[in-house]
Amino acid sequence: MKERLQRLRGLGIELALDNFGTGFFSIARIRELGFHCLKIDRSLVAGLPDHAEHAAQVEAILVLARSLGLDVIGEGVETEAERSFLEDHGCTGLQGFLLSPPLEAEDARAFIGERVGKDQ
Amino acid sequence: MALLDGLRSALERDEFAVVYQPIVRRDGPPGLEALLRWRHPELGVVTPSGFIAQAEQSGLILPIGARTLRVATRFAASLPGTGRLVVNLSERQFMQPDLVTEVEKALRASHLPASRLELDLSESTVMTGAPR
Repeated sequence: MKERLQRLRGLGIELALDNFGTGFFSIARIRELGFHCLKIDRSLVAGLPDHAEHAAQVEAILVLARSLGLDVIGEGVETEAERSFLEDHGCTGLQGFLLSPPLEAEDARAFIGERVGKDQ
Repeated sequence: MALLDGLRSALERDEFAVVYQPIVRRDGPPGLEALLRWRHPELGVVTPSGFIAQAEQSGLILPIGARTLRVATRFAASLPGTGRLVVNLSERQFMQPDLVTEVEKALRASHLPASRLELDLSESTVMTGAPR
């Protein structure tokens, strides 16, 4: 497993761990295995911050991830409340219907083009 | 069985399409996650939850996944900016022997810089493969 991940890393690509929080994977091993990013599963994001248990879990993930220098993407973000909770706790990226649904290729091109334009 | 036959002919008839969901990043340009869709002639658009288990079990995920990687890297390379492309790898894809070669080939063919490609593995894949 580790060798396989290292060979992929050797190509110069990035690796992310998806659906994080659904199993019991040790967060400390993530870095060791070469992942630069983890993605908090949508089941944990849904209902933040009212779901106290999930809120506590997500907060803990974000604290640990920051201490390990990992990027964290919140998946399945659908409400402003979820977005602000994640942003306020140091989440480095967001994905979900609140930001954009999946797009056909040409709409995705327009989405990216608009934002590249803004930065220049 | 019907689903399996459907998947086979879907590959032949090129019924699989890739859509892209934006990922907004705090410290960098937005990226896109490539997501697979099956444009079924009768059922309409089918999302992976409706067929991925069968595809994985039958091994059809390998040609489907390879095609997705090729299509998505080519598309991403044609975009302005430096945002990252995210492609998901299933457990079976991750375990296949020529995965690294396949990724390398897709990068070379598309001219997408390797640093702009991110492969996502789910927690369950890593837990299955990792001795604990």
